[in-house]
Amino acid sequence: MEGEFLIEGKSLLSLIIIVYNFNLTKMKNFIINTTLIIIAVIIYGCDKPAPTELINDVSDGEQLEYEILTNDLNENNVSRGTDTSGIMQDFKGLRNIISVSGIKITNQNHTVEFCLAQGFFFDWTQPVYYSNERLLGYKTIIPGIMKFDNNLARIVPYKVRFRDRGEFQDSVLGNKFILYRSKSGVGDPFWFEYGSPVSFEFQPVSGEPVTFDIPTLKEITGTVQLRGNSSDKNLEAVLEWNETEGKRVWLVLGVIRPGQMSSLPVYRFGVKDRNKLIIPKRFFNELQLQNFNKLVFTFIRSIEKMERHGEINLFVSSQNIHSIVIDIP
Amino acid sequence: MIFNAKILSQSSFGLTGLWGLSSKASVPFYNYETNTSNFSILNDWGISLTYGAEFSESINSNIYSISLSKTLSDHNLSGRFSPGYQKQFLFSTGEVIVINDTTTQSLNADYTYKELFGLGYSYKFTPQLSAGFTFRFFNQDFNREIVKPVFGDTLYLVRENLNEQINYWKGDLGINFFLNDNFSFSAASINLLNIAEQTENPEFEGYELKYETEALLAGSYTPVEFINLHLMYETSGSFQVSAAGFAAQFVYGLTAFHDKYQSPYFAGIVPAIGYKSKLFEIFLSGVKYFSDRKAEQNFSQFEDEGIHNIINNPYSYDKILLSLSFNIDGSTEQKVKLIDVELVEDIYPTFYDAYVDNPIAYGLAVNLTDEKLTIKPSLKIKDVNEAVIQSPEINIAPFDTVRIPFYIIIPDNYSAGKPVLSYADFYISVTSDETDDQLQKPMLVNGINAWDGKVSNLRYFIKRDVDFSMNYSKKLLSDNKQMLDTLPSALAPFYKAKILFDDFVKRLVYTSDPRATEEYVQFPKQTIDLKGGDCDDLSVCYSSLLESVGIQTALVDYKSNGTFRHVNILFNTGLTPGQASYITNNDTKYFVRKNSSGDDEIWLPVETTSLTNFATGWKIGVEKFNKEAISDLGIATGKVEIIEVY
Amino acid sequence: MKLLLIILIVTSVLTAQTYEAIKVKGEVKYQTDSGEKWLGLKQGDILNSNSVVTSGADAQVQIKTENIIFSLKELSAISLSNIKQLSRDELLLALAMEDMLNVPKKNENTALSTAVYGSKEDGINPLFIKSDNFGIKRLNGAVQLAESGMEESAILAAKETYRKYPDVKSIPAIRIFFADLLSKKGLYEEALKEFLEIQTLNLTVEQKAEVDSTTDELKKKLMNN
Repeated sequence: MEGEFLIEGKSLLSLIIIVYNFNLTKMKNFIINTTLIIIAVIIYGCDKPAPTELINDVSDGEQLEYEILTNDLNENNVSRGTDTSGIMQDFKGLRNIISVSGIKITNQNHTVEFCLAQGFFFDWTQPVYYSNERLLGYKTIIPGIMKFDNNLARIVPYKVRFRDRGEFQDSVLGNKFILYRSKSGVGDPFWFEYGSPVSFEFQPVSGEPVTFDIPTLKEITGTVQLRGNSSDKNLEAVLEWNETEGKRVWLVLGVIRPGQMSSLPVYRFGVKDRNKLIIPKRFFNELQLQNFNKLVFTFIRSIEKMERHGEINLFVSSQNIHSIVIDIP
Repeated sequence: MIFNAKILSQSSFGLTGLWGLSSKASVPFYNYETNTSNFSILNDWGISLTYGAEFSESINSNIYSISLSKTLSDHNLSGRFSPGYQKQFLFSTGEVIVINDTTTQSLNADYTYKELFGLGYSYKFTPQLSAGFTFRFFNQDFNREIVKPVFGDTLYLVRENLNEQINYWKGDLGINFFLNDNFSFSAASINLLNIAEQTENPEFEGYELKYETEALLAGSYTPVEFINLHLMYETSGSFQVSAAGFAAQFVYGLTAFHDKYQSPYFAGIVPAIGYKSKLFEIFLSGVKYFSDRKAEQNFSQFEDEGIHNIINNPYSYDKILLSLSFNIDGSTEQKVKLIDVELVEDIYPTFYDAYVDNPIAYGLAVNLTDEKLTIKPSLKIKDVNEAVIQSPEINIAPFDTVRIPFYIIIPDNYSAGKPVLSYADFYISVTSDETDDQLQKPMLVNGINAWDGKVSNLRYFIKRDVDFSMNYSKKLLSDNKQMLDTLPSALAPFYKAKILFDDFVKRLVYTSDPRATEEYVQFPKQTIDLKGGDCDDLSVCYSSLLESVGIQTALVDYKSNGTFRHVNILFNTGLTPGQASYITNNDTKYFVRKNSSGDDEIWLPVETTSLTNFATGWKIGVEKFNKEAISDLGIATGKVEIIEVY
Repeated sequence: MKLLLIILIVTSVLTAQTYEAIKVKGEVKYQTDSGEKWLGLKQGDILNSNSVVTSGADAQVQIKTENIIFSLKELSAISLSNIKQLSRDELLLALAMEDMLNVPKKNENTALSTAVYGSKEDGINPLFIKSDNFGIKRLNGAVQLAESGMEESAILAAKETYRKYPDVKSIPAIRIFFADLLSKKGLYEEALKEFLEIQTLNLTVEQKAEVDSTTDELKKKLMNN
């Protein structure tokens, strides 16, 4: 590059000298010579100025992540998770999960709120496969007792529903720990306030008990404003939520078929905690909304950590969730 | 995804530095940034080219701008094409597509801001005050990858390129004022008039060029030619200071600038050096920033602060630039100068060829070059000449000063009776196309009857109006045709003169003061129409009548040392001395003159103011001539002068 | 108009000299004031300088003016204004005027008078020619002026006569006489000019010799100066 510049510079200079030797008192001569120089220079010097590459100093935690959760929209109520709200957590690679969630579901201005605490222990020696030998999950075991805020967790079957070979199947992969209570008072005697930690205790069959606090986050409350409508293909959604703590927030968009209760989560957006996200039209236009009658917007604020105690590593997740169900306009 | 980057279009940084208005080099004025008012020192066409290299990771060279300027009397129009005025930013948008646990795809964006071209116009109200405006056109080319879900057989996310081109016009005004030789000031607007398209895509909102209206004030202090100081201040807080100067053909300067949005306080300097010859200028300038421009730049800083200037911003690299301009500047080509013109003659319009041999003015011309020049002087008097009258060419040695004569011809049809105070334009030129210098002098053009008192110039009055005299005489003579036909041809002149005189005096009613009135002479027709005149008028009239029928005449000027001065005429009978007896018995009544071929001819003096008859006029003329011209030796002493009419 | 004429005439009269014919013998005539007629001159008549006097055969007239008495012999004519003493300077001026009277020359062709006149010589005085030719009469008068001591005037009168009567230029004796006068007055150039012209005339042998030698002398004189 440097060499190139020098050559161009020299040619330019020699052009100048040639031009100067002409008798340039006449206008015509002048124009001709100048045009020649300009042409020559244009031919020589047509790099663009160098672009500035800006370093992306946006940390991972601040990037906006787009993810497809279900790419087959014809899937029906595949529940890969365990919570009844249909929220997913990807369990692959985890040996166990301890999860505490505060959940709100808003449906036509009516909100139900409940707390959920769950525990899973996966037995990696017992994988479960689809018929095409793709891994579905693992069987769960109950290796001890679990308490949340001194409440003993119940042990219930861990059911999954999945689609295999075009048919839905229900399967029980083992048992799980659960505590459940709704705000209206139904359920187990377990409740936690947003922000205050939940104490956790696990007593394995053999080994020392493990106790620690599970932190909980501030409540997340979101609003959804829909603009446009599906038939005009200009539907877009403005999601807003109360911003706190600058932690990452996930937003999930799901669809509900007519007559169904549970939703099919389609997109997950991971955003910096910035209190607003616009889901543009193009995200709705590909969804074949004519097949569905409701949308579910879920706001998730969660923290996760690994708790190591001796030989036991527990994946702890604390989530605040707010789902809003809206009819598709 | 809404960022609020402050991206402003140009404020006042110029790639060749800050030179103020007193610059003798034209290159800096092609920068609309520092020259919002489109001030120009050019007299005619100018063309300029700036070519430069940028020291980024590699060295990139390109044309920064090409400009064309034309000055027409007090107007200047210019245009600039600026391919090099662009800044491109590449960055990750901060969005990623999660494909699976281990794989993500990040999305990139590429925003390019360009100033494509500009136009300027200015007008010089007085040599001290000028103002103008510039219009500049910007283009923003936004390219950004966005996430798009696509439903094929399954739903998946792809990257799609979202592109939008947004254009933007900016107009600004400026005004310049030269207080005196040492101080000059400018004021201009920044982002005064903005015509911008709006983006249709929310993704690009906030990145468009913004236009906060500011103002620009500049001042120059130029005490001596070799060092001048300049300051340019923007109301946003940025400013430039420079010291520049001229020495011989070289110009040099150093500009330091403080940009509110760059660090350190003096973000950089622009050193420049140039060479100026008659025909072209060449400038070498550089931009050196005091911070490390090759260091990594963060997107978040860009996102927060944006840029305010496409070519000078925290992301600009060091540069080196070569600017060339070609000027056709008429005034610097002046080869000869007309210093002064001295009028040496008054103009008597009737003396039609008097100024062909006698110049009416002398001019002092200087040859400013080192070669011998041939100049053509010419002259035009307003309301007298329709076209310039050329005078003979004069050679001037190098650097020499010569006195050059200017000749004039008064057109035959000039007919103003009263004196006219007009003015004369004197021109000297080396080539036939253009005038190298000119001067104007007031000039008094006398009326057509004006006379300078020299009897020798009465012939002009005699010869003018020849048609009238001819018709008049011929008519008179034709009335006496019968008599004349009976005469021997030798006697014809004598008898014609007699007939003409007798008729001529019959019609006249008066003679005004017989003393010759200087300054005013009637034409023959006027004398006949007015039925009288003084001795000049009558002599002119009679002589004209005789001359128009081929009789040779001469005027006799009887000067005196008092105020009494007189003119009468002599005419040539054409007779030889031997034929004298045909017309008279008295040999004192005629005079013998040798003609130009050496033959003797008889001439008779006639006193035209004796309004009686030919015999009396002849007698009185003879007696006066005998006494004063011959006896008193008047012709020898100069008291009497015979002036031929030809 | 009349007033003008009176003024002109009066002024000329006032400055005029008077000439008295103090003795008249025989037929003597005069012309005056540009008149065409010849009038008889009687003793006691007073004339002005505009007058010309001529004497017939055997006539004579004595004219007195101021302090000069001039005798005009027979067959001679004279303009009264010539009867005066001129200084050498005045003569020089007058001679210079000769050329000035002419129309400015364009070419050098000076056509010399080619008319040849027989030299009519009187036995007694070869400078006196009996003739009625007015030009010759004037020449006679001029010679008499010279003999009366008014040589300068004589030269001028002769010159004037040559102008008006070019034929008389070819009378050698008188021409030589006046040319000698010029030489005598120290006007060598003028004299030489005359002698050179005289050389072209029809001269007798003696005349030729005289003219040639005088010419050479003059040439030498002029070269030495």
